[in-house]
Amino acid sequence: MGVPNHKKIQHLYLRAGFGLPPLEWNEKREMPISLAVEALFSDINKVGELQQMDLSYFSLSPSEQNKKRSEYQGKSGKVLRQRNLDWINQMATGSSNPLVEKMTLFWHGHFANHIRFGFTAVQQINMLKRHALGNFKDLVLGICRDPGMLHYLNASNNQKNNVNENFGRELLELFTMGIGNYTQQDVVEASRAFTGWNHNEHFRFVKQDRFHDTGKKTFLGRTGNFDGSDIVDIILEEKATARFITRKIYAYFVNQDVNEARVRTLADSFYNSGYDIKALMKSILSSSWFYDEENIGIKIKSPTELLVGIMKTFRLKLHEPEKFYQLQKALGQKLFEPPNVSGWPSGKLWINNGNIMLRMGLANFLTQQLQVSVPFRKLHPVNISKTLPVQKISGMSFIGFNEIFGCCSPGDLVNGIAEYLLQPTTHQNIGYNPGFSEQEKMFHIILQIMRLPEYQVC
Amino acid sequence: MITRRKFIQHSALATASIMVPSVLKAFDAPSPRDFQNGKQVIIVQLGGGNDGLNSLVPFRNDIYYKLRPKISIPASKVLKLNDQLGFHPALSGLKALYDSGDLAIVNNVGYPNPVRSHFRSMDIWHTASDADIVWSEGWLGRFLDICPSCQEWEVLNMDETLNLAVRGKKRSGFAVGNIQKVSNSVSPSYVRSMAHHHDHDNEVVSYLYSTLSNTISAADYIYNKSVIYKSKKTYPNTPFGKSCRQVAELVTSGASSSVYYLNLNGFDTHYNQVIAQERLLIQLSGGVSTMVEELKANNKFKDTLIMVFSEFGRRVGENGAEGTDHGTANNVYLISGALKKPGLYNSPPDLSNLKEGDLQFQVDFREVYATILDKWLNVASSQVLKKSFNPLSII
Repeated sequence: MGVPNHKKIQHLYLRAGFGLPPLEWNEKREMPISLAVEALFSDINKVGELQQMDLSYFSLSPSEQNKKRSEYQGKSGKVLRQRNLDWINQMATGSSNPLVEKMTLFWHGHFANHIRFGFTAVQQINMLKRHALGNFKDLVLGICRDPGMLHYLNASNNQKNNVNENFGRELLELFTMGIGNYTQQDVVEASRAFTGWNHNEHFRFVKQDRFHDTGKKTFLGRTGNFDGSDIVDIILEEKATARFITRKIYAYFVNQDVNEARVRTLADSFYNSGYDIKALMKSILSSSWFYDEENIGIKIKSPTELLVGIMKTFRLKLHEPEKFYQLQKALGQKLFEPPNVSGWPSGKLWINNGNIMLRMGLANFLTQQLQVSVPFRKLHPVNISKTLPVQKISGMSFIGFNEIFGCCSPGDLVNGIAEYLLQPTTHQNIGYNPGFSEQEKMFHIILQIMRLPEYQVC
Repeated sequence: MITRRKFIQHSALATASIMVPSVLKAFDAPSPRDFQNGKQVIIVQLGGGNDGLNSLVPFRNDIYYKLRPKISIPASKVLKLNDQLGFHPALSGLKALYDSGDLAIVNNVGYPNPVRSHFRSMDIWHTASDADIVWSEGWLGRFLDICPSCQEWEVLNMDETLNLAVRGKKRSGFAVGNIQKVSNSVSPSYVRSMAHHHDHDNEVVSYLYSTLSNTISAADYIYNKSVIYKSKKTYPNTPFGKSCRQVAELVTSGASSSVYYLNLNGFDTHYNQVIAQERLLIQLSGGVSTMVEELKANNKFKDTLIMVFSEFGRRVGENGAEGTDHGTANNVYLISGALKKPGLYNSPPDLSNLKEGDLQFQVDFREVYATILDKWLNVASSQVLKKSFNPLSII
């Protein structure tokens, strides 16, 4: 018995996006996969960018900047939190193509850096969004010139005669080639080529010629008066780069337990296409093995995937950035703040005793805070940490649930909702109080399913 | 009551070697550790970079006063330890511990090629890596990884979430911000009945179920211990003060956890340092000294070691905003009823020999960790730190 089509559709949208609201899932459930993949790629130009903050501060004179510095910093901090939440809402509302958003989240974890300012966060995430499904070279060059990243990796300390290897090392080790494909000398030579690449006081990219080392460099066997973009070209000439990136994409989108032969084939095509990310993703999502049973329901959702998935199901919108940040912190994934340069953990590392109850109770926690006429106390809420601040939420709707599942007998109701919400089957007994109204029953069933460990995977 | 838990040498080798990186395997020798020593270590992390020079003031040093015209602590106010050094006036509790021979000060603790980013420097302290390497497991997480017989509550992180220090590859510490809340979260009957249905053909789902049931058993254990003894002492009425109280209660009740990890944040004093730091040091001193009084009264202090540290110190010269910027080496305090060498372990920082305006480190922080691992927890530090460091002769 093969995997049913509706499960494949759900798989496609959970991995290439954040899942589907019930109505859309129901519309697409019998759609052939090839058409669904086409549809996903058909509007990849629909990208909602984050709104940049007011930058008038940067055009002030130095003395006026001095006066207004703390006001600007306060504003910048606020924008940082607000854009974090804006991005989450964009992922959840479908105002942007889901694959572009998912891919941007992937690149954000790949080019991991702690972004400190609202301005540089918007700049960097929008750059990632623009190139998320474009060419990998544009993405790498974009990150090499990104003020937030340059700031984070101490580019201003990387000068002729005083080389700082921080950027060069991360570029090779984490961003492009992976350890074992270059020598320490290559790190030094690459770093020399990037000397003088910095941002100015307005946080714009600049090449500072006076700090640039114009001498000859020997990098991965080639010799020349290389600068940073030459280094990127050479890195991309190496097949190791295509393999490293393809492998990481496979582990993230398909299965952490990587099929090396498949990755080799995909990487060869990726290399031959000149690093076309869209083509790579298309061949993964159109392949038949992507929909094999062994790849379905085996990935632990990242906190962002879990959260946005719930928001999508109920059409929720969140409104309070500072409180939301506390929630992200408790879940273990603050956007703009990966734990270190190697990005967020994955798989089982997302889970520990400090967050498992919160994760299981998340849907309950979010919906509890809505003014909906359901007697929540009767629903045995998961008692997660009361220290998390209440978040203002709007939107909440059962659109789809009533239409699709409302008709059915009690047993079908539970099975129907479980089929929509879960990838693995569950052995848990889902029941409800027969005294509840139809709406209460439905809500009770949804929340019971959403707090199952089975809901934590996709 | 407490079951005898010892490292089982064979199982240590068998299970640890599967997922441990090859670098670590070299040190993967059997690790004898007798848990019945009943000892515990309490780690107090001062987040943000506490200003060590204003905590332990070199009140005879002209350079100190010259470089800090606005924020230095006047000699007349410091709590003098000798004719050179004195504690910040808010640290009266620590001064009393110093006087009773229960506090040791290690000066100039740091690491080579210091990093001035909070983020990175705290990671380095958490993982015990060199400055130019990124590790993703914490030192106490690695301690758990090589300790198959350790319980789910062996390492308690007194916070809502787990910090990197207590995260291992296979196992992690247990997060307890508030014991009552943790207990409430696992108390509903459906949570328990859910956890009974353990087996699932999906390996990942099955892992989630076992994490759930481990969480329940640890939460039950901690809760049952926490109700045995209730403190009547007055702790600072802040989250840190409450954590100190919870730790004192658990230790007094005979909880078998070996490590308690506490946070006190807010030390990033770039602006108006004087007021901000004083407020925090009052909490530190009050929380720690009350906890010590409690442990002393219950005859637990000789089995307790407290380490107080921060990810870095601050620059020697003050900045233009009556604060200080990120620096390098700092002092670490070790507090216990069983110190062999209390007092000043080494000489105070040499302010006439700075590197780019910063203090130079003398003692690698991993020597302090090695001291705790080898001499207090009886576990071979080279296995946990993946390198050999000499323990200090303080305990």
